[in-house]
Amino acid sequence: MIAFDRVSLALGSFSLDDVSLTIGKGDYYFIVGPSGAGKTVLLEAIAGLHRPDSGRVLLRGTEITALPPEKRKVALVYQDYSLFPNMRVIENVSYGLRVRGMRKEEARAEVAPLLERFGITHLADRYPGTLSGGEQQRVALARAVAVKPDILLLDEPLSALDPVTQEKFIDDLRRLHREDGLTIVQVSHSRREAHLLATRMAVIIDGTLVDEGEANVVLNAPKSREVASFIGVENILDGTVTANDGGLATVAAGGLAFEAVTDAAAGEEVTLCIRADDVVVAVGDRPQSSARNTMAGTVLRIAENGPVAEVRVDAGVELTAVLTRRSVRDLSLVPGTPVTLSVKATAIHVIRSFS
Amino acid sequence: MNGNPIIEGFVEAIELIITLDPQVVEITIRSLYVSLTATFFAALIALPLGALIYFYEFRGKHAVVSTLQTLYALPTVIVGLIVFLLLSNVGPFGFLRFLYTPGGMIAAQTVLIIPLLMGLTVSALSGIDRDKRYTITALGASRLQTVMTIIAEARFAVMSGVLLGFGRAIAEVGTVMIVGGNIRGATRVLTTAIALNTSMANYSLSIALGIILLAVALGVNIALSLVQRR
Repeated sequence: MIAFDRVSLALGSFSLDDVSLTIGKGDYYFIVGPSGAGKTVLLEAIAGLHRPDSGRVLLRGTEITALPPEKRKVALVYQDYSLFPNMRVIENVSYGLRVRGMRKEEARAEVAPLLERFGITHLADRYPGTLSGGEQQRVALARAVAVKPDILLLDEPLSALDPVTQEKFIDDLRRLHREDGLTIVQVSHSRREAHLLATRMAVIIDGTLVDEGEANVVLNAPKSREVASFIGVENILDGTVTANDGGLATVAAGGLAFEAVTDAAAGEEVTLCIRADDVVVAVGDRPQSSARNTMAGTVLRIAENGPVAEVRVDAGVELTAVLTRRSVRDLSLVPGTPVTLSVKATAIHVIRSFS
Repeated sequence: MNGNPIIEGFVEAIELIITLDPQVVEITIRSLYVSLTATFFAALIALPLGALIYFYEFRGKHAVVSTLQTLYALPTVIVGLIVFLLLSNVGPFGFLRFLYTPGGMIAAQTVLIIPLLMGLTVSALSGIDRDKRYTITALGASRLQTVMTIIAEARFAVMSGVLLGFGRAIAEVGTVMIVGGNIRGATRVLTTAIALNTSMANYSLSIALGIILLAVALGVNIALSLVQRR
């Protein structure tokens, strides 16, 4: 639907450097990256708020690099909602229609179903200053959707909300994407949000797009150590391939030998990425398992987080596993408990140094 | 009563105000007329110019804003002198015959407070965050609609600026003294009348006019805090 072709842009201390990406119709596209990476600049460039210094922006194959924002059929929602404090909720939501020349009563009738849908009908005559954060966010979203944008742009829309409101809002966003087929581009810090919502994603670091593609691929098979670290892969180990038997390689890392599926040749330096969900914890010395990698270790610490717990184990190298709290209880895990970790060879993602 | 002339002056001043002394009323009305009119014209010129400076990117924008802020403290006698020269018989606007008239005083005060109103308009609009401006544009507003929406958002801050401008105009003495000449029944205003009557030891009238001037300043302050509370 919209494509960036080698776009570069400098804006004060933020910049984009030779960014190429394609956002398809119906995508829920996540842009993730550390603070100051240029994510918001990229979002605003999609909106047409910044003109690239070089490169082209294409919409359905037609160049729109110089097309002003008001003609791009996009709507933008920032994390601080940017509502108009001097307008009532109904006026805020109908603002986009009013500036397009729709009469006041007509615009109000048009947005009435939206207020209903977002559960804010009872707030129609209130001013934003009297609303909670979650209510303000729903008003901002309704205002954006009211103009029937081709692309909805969201800049960290969940970051200012409490966890309960976040869950409700994630449901709202999922419905907008799945039921309305809306193309959504969202800037986020959260891997969890990306897991729950994204169909495609891009990772941007220091203004450069370092990874892009299907969300589950980027999240589970990052292209570089930098990306793996940013998207929160819990276990990242640098090592060297010592042997490769038809695609099943042995990698020496941290004094251990891991088996992993890769084409990397013997002698090649690689990085192993192991998600904590893929590390199985067992009590006892020699549990029977089909997993190619087993290692003995000792529990260092257990951090409970809601229904799950992160278990940190010293197995020669420190590895993290995620278990349910019930499993931790059933296995009687406490710091000092001897355990055996196992990881399937196919669960290890191998990043080759020159890939 | 045979006591302190200042205390006697206070008592007489209160009498002058309560009895609506014709001279006090006339000077007060002229002061308000001159400064309100000057504020109106200054706002008419400065608000659009301030908005233009805020909304358009151009080379030297920062320098222009800094210059405006420097001109907040423009000495009133300097403005008085410049406007006097412009309106004098040998000046380019001498044909208007504005010198020593309320019209000339209005012109002088307008010139005096334009930089203040322009600078405060830029500040008021800068108070609207960038995200809101972008949101408005992305929602489909044209450039003019964006400008109008942002001005509406900043209207209380802009109004505060206008009130401050009026406060500076009505309280200044330098320009109206030089351009108006402090002519009784024609160009005498609160500040020039206070200066003259104090030098003539006519304390009661000075104090009465001073109390009115303070009341006007207080009124502006109350209005300002009401506006700023919005």
